[in-house]
Amino acid sequence: MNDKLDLDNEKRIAAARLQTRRHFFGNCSMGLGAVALSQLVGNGQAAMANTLVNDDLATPKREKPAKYVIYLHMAGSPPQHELFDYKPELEKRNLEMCPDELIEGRTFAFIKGKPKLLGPVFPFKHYGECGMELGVKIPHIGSHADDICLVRSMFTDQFNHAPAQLALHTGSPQFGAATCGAWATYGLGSENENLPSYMVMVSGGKLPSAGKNLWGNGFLPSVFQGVQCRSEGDPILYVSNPKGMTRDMRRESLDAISELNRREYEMFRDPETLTRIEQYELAFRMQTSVPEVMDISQEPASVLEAYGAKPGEASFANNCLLARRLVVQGVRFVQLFDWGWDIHGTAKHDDMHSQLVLKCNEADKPIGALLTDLKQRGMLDETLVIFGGEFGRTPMVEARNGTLDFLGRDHHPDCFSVWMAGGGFRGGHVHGATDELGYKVAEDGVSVRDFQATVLHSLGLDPYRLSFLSQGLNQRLIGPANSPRIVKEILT
Amino acid sequence: MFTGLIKRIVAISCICWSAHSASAQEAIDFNQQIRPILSKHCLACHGSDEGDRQAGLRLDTHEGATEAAIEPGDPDGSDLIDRITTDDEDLRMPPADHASALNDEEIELLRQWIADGAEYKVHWSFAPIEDPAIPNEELFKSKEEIVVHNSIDKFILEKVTQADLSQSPPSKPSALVRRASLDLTGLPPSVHDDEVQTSIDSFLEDPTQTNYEVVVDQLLKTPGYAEHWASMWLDVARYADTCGYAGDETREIWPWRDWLIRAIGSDKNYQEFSTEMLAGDLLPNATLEQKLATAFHRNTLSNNEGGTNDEEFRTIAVKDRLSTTLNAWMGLTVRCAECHSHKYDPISHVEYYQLLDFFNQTVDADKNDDRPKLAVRLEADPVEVAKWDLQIEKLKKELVDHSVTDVDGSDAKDDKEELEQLQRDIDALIAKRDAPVRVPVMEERTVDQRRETFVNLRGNFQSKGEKVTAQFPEAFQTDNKFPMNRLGLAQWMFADDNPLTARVAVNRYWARLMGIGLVETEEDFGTQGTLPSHPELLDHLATEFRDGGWDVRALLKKIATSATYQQSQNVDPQTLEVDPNNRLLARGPRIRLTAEVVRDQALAVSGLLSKKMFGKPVYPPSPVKRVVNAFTGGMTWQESEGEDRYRRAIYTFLKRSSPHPLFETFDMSSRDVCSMRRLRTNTPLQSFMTLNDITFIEAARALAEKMLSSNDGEEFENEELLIATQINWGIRRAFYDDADENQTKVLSKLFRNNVAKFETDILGAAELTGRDTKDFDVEKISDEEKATIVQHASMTVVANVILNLDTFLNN
Repeated sequence: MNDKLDLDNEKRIAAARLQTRRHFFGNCSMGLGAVALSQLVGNGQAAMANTLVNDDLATPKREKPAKYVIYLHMAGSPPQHELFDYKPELEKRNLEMCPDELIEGRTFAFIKGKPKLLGPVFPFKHYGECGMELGVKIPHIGSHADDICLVRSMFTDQFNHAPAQLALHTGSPQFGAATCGAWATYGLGSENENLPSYMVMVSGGKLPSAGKNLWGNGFLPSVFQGVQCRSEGDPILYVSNPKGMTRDMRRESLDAISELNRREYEMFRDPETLTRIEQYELAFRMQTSVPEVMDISQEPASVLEAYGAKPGEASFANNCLLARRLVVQGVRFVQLFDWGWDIHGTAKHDDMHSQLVLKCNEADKPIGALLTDLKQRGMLDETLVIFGGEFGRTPMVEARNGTLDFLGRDHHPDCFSVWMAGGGFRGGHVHGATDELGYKVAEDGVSVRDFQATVLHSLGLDPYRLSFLSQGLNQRLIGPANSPRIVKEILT
Repeated sequence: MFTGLIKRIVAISCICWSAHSASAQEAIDFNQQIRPILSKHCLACHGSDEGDRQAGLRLDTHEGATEAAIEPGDPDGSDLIDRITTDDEDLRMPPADHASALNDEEIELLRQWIADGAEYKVHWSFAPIEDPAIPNEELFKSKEEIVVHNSIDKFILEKVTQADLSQSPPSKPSALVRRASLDLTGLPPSVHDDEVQTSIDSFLEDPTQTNYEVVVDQLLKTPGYAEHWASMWLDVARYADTCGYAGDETREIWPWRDWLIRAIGSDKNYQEFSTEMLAGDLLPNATLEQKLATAFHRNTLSNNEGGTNDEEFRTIAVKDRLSTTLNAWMGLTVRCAECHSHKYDPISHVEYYQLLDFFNQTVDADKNDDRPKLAVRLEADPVEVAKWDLQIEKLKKELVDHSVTDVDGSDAKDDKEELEQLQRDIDALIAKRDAPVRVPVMEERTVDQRRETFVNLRGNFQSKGEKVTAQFPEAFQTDNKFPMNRLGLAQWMFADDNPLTARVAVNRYWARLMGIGLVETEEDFGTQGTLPSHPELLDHLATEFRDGGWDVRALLKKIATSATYQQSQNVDPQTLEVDPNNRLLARGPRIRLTAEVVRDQALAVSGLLSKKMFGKPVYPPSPVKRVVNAFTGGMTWQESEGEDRYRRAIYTFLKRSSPHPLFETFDMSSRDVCSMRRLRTNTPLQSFMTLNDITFIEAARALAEKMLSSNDGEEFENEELLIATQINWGIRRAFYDDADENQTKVLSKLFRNNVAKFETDILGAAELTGRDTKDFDVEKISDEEKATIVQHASMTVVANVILNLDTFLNN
């Protein structure tokens, strides 16, 4: 037998061993990304068993599942009564006292005593052939009404930002659970091995309330953590070589690392060493692939103009354009957070007439451009775009300061609106309805867990079987109970 | 060829630690073979959770199973067999959409077990700890040279021999020293004090077991030991310097971290140490330190967002304390019992709330100021005090100057006010200088203020069910009488008849040194956890630990001085195939270093590491300069200066919502909830960090400087030999081992090539070495200076490579 190490052969054997273990712990009919799996080899058996996606699927898979997700989270939660859920009765009863039966025994985040109703501050109009009613402040989004599936009957059980954001993205209002993006990449693996498969961008000047936990891996291994891209400094932390070190110097030092690690492997035969050699090579490739994909200045002026993007700025518009660039490169899950939608009406900075208008101006055009762009590229069918906040807002005016100088609404878990476009969701469709004042769900309620089950399903994953054993619980995005429902009516 | 290999691996894996094959006509072991089958396929619907139990059938107890489903001794007459084997899809169990079907082997095992009488046994970890007989050495002493240093080796060798493997030879003494030093102190051997060095030198000179034991003893006495093991407890305690949720405000709880380090470094045994953390405030005549210890459970998150319900978040914190306690000390996972009875382990919904009542009696209530707090006066940090004093002196001088110049009394009233203001400022500064740190702690409510505890229906704190009071769960009743408070709970956990506490503890320490626990799921000793690879060894160690007075150092010493631990890490392909995860330990453990150690080691070998202990958290360089949280404004990462840049990672300020990238990248737990083990990953982001992070670059620069000056005054025949000597010095410094020829060759070439490149790019060389390049003018630099810069830059590249090698990142 030849003593000289045949690295390629070693890698094949290592891969086979992985496959075997995977096989041994259950027949995995859903592909865990080979990259993700290989990054986990250093742990024991149970860790490997943990990484299994359950074998026997109860839910039939979708024929053409969505491949990518662009999730636009409007942190703070936009007011549905101005943008998505027109209520003529509420308009009629503007500034009348809120009926007692609605608020009896209820606790609100800020409203104390008896509040007044607040009619829509801005008018609505019909958009598209489907005639979907949306606020006049979001005309670009409205122009895509025929591709939009609007759910007006979402509800949650959390009325504070951080827990509600966590509940929406991780299934648990407490810190420590895995996010939807982590689950999706855990289930689907990576498509582009030169880029992380779960990437996150933040705009609006602040992190969302629940912070980085909103793209955390929770109990899943950290390979599945969202990687935050930044507009300042390195687009991904540490992607740049230190000053003074050129790319070919780096290449040469990586060659030395590779050569010496190879010798190390010959001695100890630790499969982790092989993985490490590959990770250094991947890092080297990312040093060019990441800055390249993050450099929007390469886009034609017409595209920059359509999105309202300006190279070098930290803006939601830039992030929308980047999101499109990333999914084109095969990044699975792109998560955007935009801060500033918490319209309480206590001062100018959270007033309907100033802040909401400002936020709509910042977000509407780039979102419209994103949808147009994806459609023109023929990617909208395989890319799911989601827009929403973490909860709804009250039909009552908050008037925390006792005046109506500024207008806003309090947090409200009972009903809110989200919309999806592409990814196999029904365009030009409105699902569910709220009562005449827009206080509660009246028809076809969709819980946060139903929503999560539906999103996973649309990606070809089985929400009931996608699980990971941690803390003695068979953890799932949709929680321990089987009651969450895949809302088939909103899928094509 | 490939399928052949795969089959063999599967077959061998089965023999090693999965269910024994049914064809082996030996007695069926319920816990090893039957319970896993029931657990996997049946108990979710036919288990201990009365709420979800289907058809009134339970299969987790003998009584339940034999009522209808099982006829002991008669598999064919047992409904259970009928229902799992029938062809009728409507009747076959489990239903297809609930759990996977049983395979033939599983069915055969069940048949045989029923035929044998369907005997149930209590889950292995809930059964009393038995002190097993130590395997007889003669059984595995073969022709080969086998080393046995203590009882651990006998248990290990028994299984190694059974698997037809053999013990690996001992590690090279230097490699062993590095391993023990990193494992026990989180630091490389070269940075320890003289006493440790002396013991190491003696061992390297004369590598006997006795000399090695002295090294281990010495390492266990270092301050580094206490700091290193504190990291593990910080994960358990979900420690951070902020309070979590949306606001994530700073929380001054670091004096508890210092308590922890001191406690680990002291002679406190595991029981005392644990009891103080859980119930130090309830000990008779509790000292200030004992009260401070209880901050352990004040590391729970608190939510200060406007409009939140304090009771809701208080309840979450109290539940977290319960699950953390049972998880950390008894390996029980109780979170599911929050909403319904545990489906697999014997903690019912009601019992959960009875346990919760133990924790429901403290004063804290998710208040914004985190009260109640304990004023802790610490030994003053002279540097801090000097800073305050400087300001105070300045004001005092101003005061004197004022008094002197303003004697003419022209504007007496204004002056008087000004003077008074100055005096007030001085007083305020003095007060700040001398202020105690106020640390959140546990404080019991008085008897007349006891909270009532109710079962929360479906886990919702607002849906109150039956009222309950503190009780120990049925499955873990004890003959002893304990007070029904937190102190009693701690005593219950440490009672002689508690089956779990000692097992869980020894397993955790074992896992840190051996890479994987004897029970791999360190956090779950229940029926859903993995079975122990060496049950007898686990019980043997647990007995010794408990009966020997819960002495952690003795336990660590025993593990670290076993022949098993000392084996070489080299592995032949055959052994790797049979035992890829090294569960049998026929070779030495090889583990990727933890986040903290990855950084501390780099700083240590480069000579940058500060040995300063304790005190306020520090802010080493981070590329994330500013974090803005919703509602509470932001926080600027104000980089520490001087040695505070280079303190051990344990002192780094930990912001929950935005931890230093080091921690996230190298798999530290999120610190939101208790974490018992970290899953190791291997990612390109880690490569980025150790290649490019400024701390690692500074370490490379410093190591390069040391390498270049390592042979000052020596004469060399030629330049090549000089460079080789310097590189070998660097390798020895980093790996605590001599370089092999190949390493020297590859790195020398790298050095020479970089010299050639940097000679044409002096500015780049100056940048890489961290020189100030603002007014850099290559023309004005002397040739000698240029050569120095080029050498330094080129060696920095070499050092950067050394600090990134697999050898360096692993232990």
